[in-house]
Amino acid sequence: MEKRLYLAGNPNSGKSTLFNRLCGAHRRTGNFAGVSVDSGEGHFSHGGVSYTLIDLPGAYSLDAMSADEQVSADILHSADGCIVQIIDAGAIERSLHLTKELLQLGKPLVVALNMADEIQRRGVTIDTEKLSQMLGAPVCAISALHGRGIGALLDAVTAAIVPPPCRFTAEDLARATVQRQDKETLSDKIDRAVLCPALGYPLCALLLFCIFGTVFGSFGNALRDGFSAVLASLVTLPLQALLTRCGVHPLLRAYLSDGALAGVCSVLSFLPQIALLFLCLALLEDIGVMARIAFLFDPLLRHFGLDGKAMLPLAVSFGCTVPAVLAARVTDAPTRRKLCFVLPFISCPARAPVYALFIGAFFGGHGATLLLCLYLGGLCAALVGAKLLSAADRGKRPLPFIMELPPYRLPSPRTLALSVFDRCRDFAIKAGTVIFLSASVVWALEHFGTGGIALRTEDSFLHAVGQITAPLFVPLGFGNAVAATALLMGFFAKESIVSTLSVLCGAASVTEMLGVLFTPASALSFMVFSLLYTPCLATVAAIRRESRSARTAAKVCLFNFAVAYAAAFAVYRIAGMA
Amino acid sequence: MTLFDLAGGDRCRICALPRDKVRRAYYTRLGFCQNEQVELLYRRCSGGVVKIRGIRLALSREAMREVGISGKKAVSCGQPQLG
Repeated sequence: MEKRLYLAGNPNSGKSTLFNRLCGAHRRTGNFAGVSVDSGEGHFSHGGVSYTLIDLPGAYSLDAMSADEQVSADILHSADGCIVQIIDAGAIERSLHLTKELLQLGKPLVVALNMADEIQRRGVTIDTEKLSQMLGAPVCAISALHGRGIGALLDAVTAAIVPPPCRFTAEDLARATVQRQDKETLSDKIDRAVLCPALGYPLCALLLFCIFGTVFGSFGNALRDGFSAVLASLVTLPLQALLTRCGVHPLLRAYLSDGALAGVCSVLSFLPQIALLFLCLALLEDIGVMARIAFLFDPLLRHFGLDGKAMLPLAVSFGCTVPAVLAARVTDAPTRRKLCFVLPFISCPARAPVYALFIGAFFGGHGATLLLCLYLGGLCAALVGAKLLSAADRGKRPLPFIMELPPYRLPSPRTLALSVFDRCRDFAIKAGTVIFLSASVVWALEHFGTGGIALRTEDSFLHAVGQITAPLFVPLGFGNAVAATALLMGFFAKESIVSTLSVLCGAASVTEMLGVLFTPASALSFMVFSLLYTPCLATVAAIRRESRSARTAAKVCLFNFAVAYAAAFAVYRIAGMA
Repeated sequence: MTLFDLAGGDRCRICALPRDKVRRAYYTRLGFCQNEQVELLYRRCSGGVVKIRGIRLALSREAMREVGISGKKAVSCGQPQLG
């Protein structure tokens, strides 16, 4: 029978790092409070005993003040196993308040002092034996990142019992067992310089420029072109040759080669750039830069009805909107509600193929600038949207911004590599499943009609669908069936826009066909519309789950569509005049 | 006198927290307890960074103005304020 173990503790204390080490899992970690916002489950064995390990979001107290803390509190109150509290040894005094609350639950408890190898450098000495005696529970010093002390921790877990009531207060425990020497650390010295607005804001701008320049500039484009060539030589051409050699029916050959495979490969070719973007985001979190960015931008975000903690979901949404919606749990309820509406405005990697395709076809010389404008435009749309939605909060007094600044840490290459690998794997799986299906559906709709096989495009189902929806987009400059169908398929997954265009235009001649279907002004309008319109199905499902309201999810879709339509109309008119 | 009135490098004790129960709990759980020693690392016009028992906490101006400190500054290192 499996025993259950619960990993509890303050945010950024190393719970997910320990979880990944014990279970060989790849839960997202980062040097930022609020990375884990949902519980995770894994399995491992020790000493012949099987364990189910539950990783909980960080909580300062069981008296929850945010949605992610509520998740932890609910699970811990009904826990049916041993609780392991992970404490950042450098911040033990604050953590002991939670320890007292966990002792009151009347469940077996083991305390793990994490980052024990760092505390000497930080001028902290902890008498673990005395602390264990005073608590009545075992206390183990570990380093989850380097895997030290884990064996002793698991032995303590095996023998853990319900501790007796602890009569000491958290202050008594800290006073008796912790000695601290005030030391100015390297992190203090760095922060003294970079948190000055005169240096901080330019550094952030430079960071952003470097990230975009690397990912979407010549280096990123070269990676993409190289990967496309590899895909063509290893997958596309051999498959076409095999299908011909095996005498496969021409229609089936066309489906596999020009339909499903063309759609999937057109999206997969962006994998190197997406991996680079994920690497940059993971670096920002792991080093500890993200918390500083949140502090620097808190005054700015306040003008838009948000606060510095919204920086995490805003930053994560550049990677994918689904985890960004979940990451909004670290904020308070009014901010979370606004973020549900505006996070989809921020451009995720799924939209990058659309920009790259149209920029390549119409705006070759100004690619990087236009891309930066699109990404910044999405961010601006999110901020302005949040400001408009703040009208509903008039009269309410939100909690002020307070955030822990973790020490700067060198990221672990293993953790970074795992993080990037996981995100790329999810992207590739999505390409192999959802995109494969949507490209297949588009191909089938294009080649079949009411009379069976459609010999002409005008007889196909797809043409009929496109004809019905195309007039809606005439004011935006792209009132044609191809564009309308691509946007419709984009609701299922944004990557489907490019795969649909590839299928409908023919992969080999998509750039030429775009030149026929669009003008530069309407291409710009199409990109803006793709940036801002309804979120993909996965995001809608996440919003519905987080808001517990299908009505809210529907409102988000309508709001985003309306904003996208207005923005694309304005862009088309202004670009047309230029 | 509040945290916002301090200069960089000053050390004081916390003597007052917001009266509202929810807001008080919000500060307490992050380490702002009565009589706790706090050091202001640096301050700018929109907020600052304090150190409580080795933990660095960034606060907005509003948050700094809600934490009352003892009347006299215990130690002043005379670090220049930022912002």
